[in-house]
Amino acid sequence: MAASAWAVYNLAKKKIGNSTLNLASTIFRMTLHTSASNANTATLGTFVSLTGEVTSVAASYSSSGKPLINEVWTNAGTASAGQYKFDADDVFWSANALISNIKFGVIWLSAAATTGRHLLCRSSLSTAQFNLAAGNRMTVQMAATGILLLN
Amino acid sequence: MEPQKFVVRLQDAAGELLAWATVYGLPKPQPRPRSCPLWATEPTQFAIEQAGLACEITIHWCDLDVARKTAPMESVHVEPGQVFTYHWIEPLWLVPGSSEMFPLPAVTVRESITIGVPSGMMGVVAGR
Repeated sequence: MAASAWAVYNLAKKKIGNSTLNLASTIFRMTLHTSASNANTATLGTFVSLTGEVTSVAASYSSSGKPLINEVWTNAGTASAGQYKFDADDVFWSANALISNIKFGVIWLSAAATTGRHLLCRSSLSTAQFNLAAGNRMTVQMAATGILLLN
Repeated sequence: MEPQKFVVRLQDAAGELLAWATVYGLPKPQPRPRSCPLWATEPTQFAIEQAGLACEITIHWCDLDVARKTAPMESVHVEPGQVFTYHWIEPLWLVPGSSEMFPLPAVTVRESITIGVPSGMMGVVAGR
């Protein structure tokens, strides 16, 4: 189940630069998507353009995913003090019932208006989609060097 | 997947060993369902041990204990003490995929799992 590194959406780079997408925000969310999703399309802009979210399952997976907790910019902790990371706590889903067809994880900025829900980055959590059986937990673990590493 | 260790042997037509070297093959997977070639990470330098006409190369994937043969583009006479540098124009090994695309049904994971996601890079250190 080798996951791919977080890949920043093309438009997110511009939005970070012109502060449309503020990485000091603490209202990011992560959603899960199926293999039929367009999540891996680099040119997507906002959450409304993203398809194939995992089907909601009561007390297991809710539409619009989960909020990131403790988003922070901090030194990456390497020998090079010039490296900073954008990081957050690990995110987990506990399956009280089967969660189906998981493949991608997407991080995006939450907002009341759909036009403000800017996509930040995505990862292919597995090379093929999978289900999570009831009674189990899936944790998306952030690397020691964070979600995004700024060299 | 880590680079895989291969031992390659330079041989003459009779199968006599002229030289050998260790080569590491790096998997370069293409999107499913295509094949996955393992490419040598660098040209191979054979230190010639015995004189002869080098016309065959055997490639031994050590961990799996499988081997195949290939040949240099042309036979070359080699002498002990020489270094024969071989530039790979083909993969060390090719793991075949399918010629057709087909869906893989989702499997159901029946245990708790942790998926580690590597960091995304927002910049590149000069010189890398």
